[in-house]
Order: sequence, then structure tokens, then C-alpha cells
Amino acid sequence: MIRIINLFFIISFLFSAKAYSLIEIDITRGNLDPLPIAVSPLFQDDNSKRNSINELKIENVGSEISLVVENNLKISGLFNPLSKEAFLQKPDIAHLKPRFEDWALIKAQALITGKVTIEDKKLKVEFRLWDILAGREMMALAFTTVPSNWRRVGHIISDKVYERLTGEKGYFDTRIIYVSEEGPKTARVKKLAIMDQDGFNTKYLTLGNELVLTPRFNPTSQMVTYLSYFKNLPRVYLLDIETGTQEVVGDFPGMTFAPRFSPDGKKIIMSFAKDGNSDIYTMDLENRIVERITNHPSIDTSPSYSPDNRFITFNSDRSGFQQIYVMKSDGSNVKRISFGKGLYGTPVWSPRGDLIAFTKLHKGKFYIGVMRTDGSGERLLTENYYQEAPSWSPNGRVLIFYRETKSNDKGEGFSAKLWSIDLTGYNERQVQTETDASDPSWSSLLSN
Amino acid sequence: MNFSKSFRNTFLVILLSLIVSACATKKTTTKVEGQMQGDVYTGTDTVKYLADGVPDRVFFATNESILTTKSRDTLRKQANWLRENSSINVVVEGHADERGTREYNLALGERRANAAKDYLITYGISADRISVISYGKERPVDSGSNPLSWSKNRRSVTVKAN
Amino acid sequence: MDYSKLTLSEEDALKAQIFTCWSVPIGLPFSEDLLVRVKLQLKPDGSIENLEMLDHVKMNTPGKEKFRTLADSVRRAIQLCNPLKVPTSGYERWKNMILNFDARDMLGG
Repeated sequence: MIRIINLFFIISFLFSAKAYSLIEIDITRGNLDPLPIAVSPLFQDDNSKRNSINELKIENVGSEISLVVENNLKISGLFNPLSKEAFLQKPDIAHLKPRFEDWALIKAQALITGKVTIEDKKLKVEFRLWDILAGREMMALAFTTVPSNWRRVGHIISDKVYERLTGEKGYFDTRIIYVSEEGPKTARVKKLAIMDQDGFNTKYLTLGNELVLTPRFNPTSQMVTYLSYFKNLPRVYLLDIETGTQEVVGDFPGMTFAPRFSPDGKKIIMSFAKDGNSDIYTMDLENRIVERITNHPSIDTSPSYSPDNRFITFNSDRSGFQQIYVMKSDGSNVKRISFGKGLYGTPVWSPRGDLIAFTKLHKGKFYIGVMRTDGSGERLLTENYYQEAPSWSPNGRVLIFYRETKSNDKGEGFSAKLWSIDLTGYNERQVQTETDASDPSWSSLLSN
Repeated sequence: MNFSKSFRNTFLVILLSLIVSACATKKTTTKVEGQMQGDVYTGTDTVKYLADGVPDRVFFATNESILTTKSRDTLRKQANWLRENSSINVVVEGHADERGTREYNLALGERRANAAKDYLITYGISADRISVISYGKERPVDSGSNPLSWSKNRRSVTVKAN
Repeated sequence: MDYSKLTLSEEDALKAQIFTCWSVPIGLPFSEDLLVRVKLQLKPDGSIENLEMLDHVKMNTPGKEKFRTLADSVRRAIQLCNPLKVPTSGYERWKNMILNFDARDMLGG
């Protein structure tokens, strides 16, 4: 209804415009080239530089923060940070009043400037975003934090700039939890690891004494759920990243696996395998009540909730082969949604709610793809020898997954790495990790 | 009526023989290596023995948990051995190859281990003596990325627990 | 000649220029009301005398951040294309014009 009314207004407007014989031109296309942006080093005075060295062993934290921002914007694929060597204006002066002509000369369309001070063990940062072509300020923000948080400051600035210029929330002030892998394929040592989204600040959360798999973030807190083979009993665990406390989820007489949090963070959904049959269960984290969601002699696993908690997507081989299904969150109304050629697995509901990402195996190749929640509009984003387990960035724009290389007949040449790709299928890139890595899961934005 | 029925039967026979011959050619080509039948591993490279003449493992086709004739033969030997050694308990480990998603493979390994366990039970071994664990694709015995390596990894292995 | 119209080739030439100048903010949802209308007043040499956002009230309306993002991108596009390569004749025809920026086709595909 609203749509029709809008349309009516537009049409009437067109007619009235015609009456004044004013030319109207519809611009329905533009370019998708990355936006040229200049990230000026954040200015820091000499006094602050001395404090910076004392506190952080970094001489110029202002320019380090600007590098964090620059790298984030570049990796997003939507921005083209210009080379600092071409900058004509000094950081301190640019921050007060940029000479827009100078920045326009190097083809910048936007400019980030800022100022950092470290005093009394506090890091104060202010930054501005400028529209070069319009010659005006678009945004100005200031905040204070502890000096050791300086990389996060860079991520938060990136998120603000990204949101202002692209119209959607950013995903830079986030972390990735994954499984770090080392050693030969037949005796792989796996540890839980966590890092900033850009690959920095890696921390290992387990020692590698037992096999760990498939860690996933709680979207609402610093909790993680994962599968551990502690004492050779594969069970779903809950881990508090801040305190390090761990506990088994539920009391099941067999293997529990494939855990994921509900979007409200209140439940864990997972598979429980018994007597050769895997079904889907939930456990309420508050009252510990366990509910059985599917009851079918086939394998039902890899469950994932819709963002509104009302539906669940999962994969099942009830048709004879692994395919993707959607059901109501009480287990009713089970519908198969994948009908293309090949096998489909690891469905994950996008945080925007409109898409499901998946892994597809067809003719010996593995694909990461997306489809609408009714199964229509399947799009394959990337093809490779082996890749699986996509996880969405919190804004639903990027997918992170892992990819394995083929070994030769001696078993050499194997590697497992994290990769990311845009929803559009563009901007595919490897995510740097200290070791081999698999099973990535993207956190929510740490700050808003 | 009769005619059409017998005609249909003949047709079916012809069709079946076509399928059989197709299978047969496939088998002979893979049998040249002598290590696979269909895509089920039939070699002995990786096999260990619980006792003299009692292999510890059976192999599966891709995405399958059905026991082959040879697997059933192996499991009967294991059942006999378990009957003779009534103090021994076992763990049946289920495994999958690397060509499947991790979580599905965990479930598949569990299904395979239970297929072996169920067969041991039908041959008189108490369920209390057999536990199962699935490793999915996490513990391959052969680290190659080729059909033969994968066939060795699609397995359930009976391991002494005490 | 119809003085209220540009010829097709004149219109295409103008469109082509603006297409290259307009960096579409591709994070915007295609499903929302995302039409930005700009009224331009041009000098005979094609440089911009005046630029008026026809829905400028929306720009600073809370909840319309997405509209603002799009409007900003439109403003940048026009600045970047300034001066426009205009037809050599008929200044009166194109002295004033309205540009309708509609990103739905770009974002929906």
C-alpha cells in the first residue's frame, strides 16, 4: 500500500515537472569502484609520543591507529585508501581545517583526520571524517580508553567511517574464534584460538591435549560453545572467554556436537547422536531444560536459528542424501529447501534474516553459496577443492570459511586456512592466522 | 495381460543384466589395483589384528554405513574372539573420509561405528562390552587426497578398551 | 525541435558521465525508498551554478541515515562530474534539470 502511494507521488511529480518543461534524467547506474579515501595519520604531540613509548613501546601510536583503519577499509573491498606519500597537508593542520583542494588533487573523496593524546594512562582520541568534494565535515567523534586498547580504537573508527559512507553497520571491532591446527594430517593437534578480525592479538584458549572442533560465539556475550573430546567423550562445552571457565552442556548418554547459540543467546542448539542416529536438541541455558526438536532415523545436524529465533535450518540425509531443510523452532513444518544438483550442508542463517549460507559438494568440488530462506535464488560464491563452514560477519555482508588444499599421494602439501568473501562473490581473500586454521566463527560487534 | 507381464519381466532381466555387467566392468578396472571393490577398500595395508586372523577394522562405501559381505565376515571373527575373551571390552571407532562437511561426518562416523556394534550384538556380544566413538574425519590413517586413501579412511575400528 | 526535451543521444551522453562519477554505496538495502532527487542549475559551460536536494529535509531526519548516505554519494557524484559536458546548443533546454538517482537496480541484482 505504502509502495503504491509512493509511486503515485513520483508519477504526479513527473507530470508536474513536465508542465514546467524541466528535463528529468533517471540515473539508475553507477560504479562499484572502491571509494578513494585518504587516512591521514592521527596527530600526536611530542609529550604524548614520550608517554606512548613508555606505555606501549610504540613511538607514534597515532600513525599506527591510522594504519589499522587503512587496512580495515582496504580489506573491506569498498574503499581505496590512498598512498600517504602523496599527502600534501600535515596531520595536525589537516585535522583543524583541511585544504580540500589539496586532497581533491590526489583524487580523495573522503578524508579521515584525528588527534591522539596519552596522559595519565589514558588514551584520548578524536577523529573527523571529511567530505572532500562537498568541502565539509561529515562526522566528528572523540573517546577515551586505556592505551592498550589502541587497536580497538582503530577498529571503532573504521566501523564509524564504514557506516557513514556505506549505509550499513561495520564489522571491524569484532573477533574470530577458530581452531588452530598443527602437525601431520593423521595426528593433527587442534586448539581453540581467538583473534581480532584483522588477524592480530591471537590467543590460544586450549592447550591441544584433546581434540576440539567447531567453536561458535554467543551473539550476545563473550561465551563460546564448542565440541571437545575431553577424556575421549565428545561433548558440547560452554566456555567463558573472560574467565576461562568451562562446563559440559547437558547430560547426554552419547556424543553431542554441532552446537550453536540461539540469536538471543539463551539456548544452545546441537545434535545428539545415539545408536547410529543423530537428532537435533536444544538446551535452555537458564533452566537447563533439554528439548528434542527432530525425531527421525536419518542424520539431522548443523542446526542454525533464524535471527528472530522462529525458525531453524539444518542438514539432513532423510531424502537419501545430505540436503538443507527449514523448520519452525519447535520442530514442526519441516521443509526441504535445497534442490540443486549435489549435496548441501552447514546451513547458516544470515544476521539480516533473508539468506542462508551453505557448503555444497558437487562433482568432487566444494562451493560456498547462499540461497534465500525458501531455497530460491541459489548463488555459488566460490569453488575449490575443499572448503566449508561459512560464518557471517555481524552485518551480514561477508562470509568467513575454511579451505583445505589437496595432499599428494605421500600426504604432503596439506594446509587449512581461513578465507573470506563478500556476499557479492567479490573480494575473496585469505585471512592471516599464525598457524593452520579451520572452523571460524565471527563475533558480534564488541561495541556499538 | 500375461504377455505384457512376461515382457516386462524380460525387460527387467535385460535391464538388470546391463546393470550387473556395468558393475562388473567397473569392478575389474578397479580390481587391477586389487585394493578396492566399488569404492570400498579391500586391501590389508592399514589393517591391524586383534588376534591371529581377527582383523580390527571394516571399510565402507562413500556416505554409506552398510556392512559389506567381507565386513560381516570380519565382524563375525571379532564376535568369536570376543566370546572367547569374555573379559575384554572394546571401543568401536567410526571414521569418515575428508570429502564431507565436518559435522555431517561426525554423525556418519557414529552411524558406521554403530553398524559394526549392532552386528557384534546380533552375534551374541553384550552391548555393555561395546562402546562407540566417532572421530568423523579427524583421524585419517592415510593422509593422501585420492580415492584409495579415502577408502582406507572410511572405516570402523574395533579397539581393546582394557 | 521540442524545446522541453534533450535528444536521446544528448541524454545518454549526460547519463554516461554521471554513471562514472557515482560511487553507489553498496551496503544500502535495495528494498527501501531510496530515490534521491537533485535539481541542478547549470551555467552555459556546464559548470554547476546551484545544486538543490529536493528531499533535503529527509537528510537530517532521525532514522533516515541510509537516505543521507545515498544523498551524500549523489552530491559527491555531481561534484566529481563538475563541469558537466553539456550539449553545444540549446542552453535554455538544459539550464535547469532534475536528476533522479535510483540505486535499486544496482543493489537488487
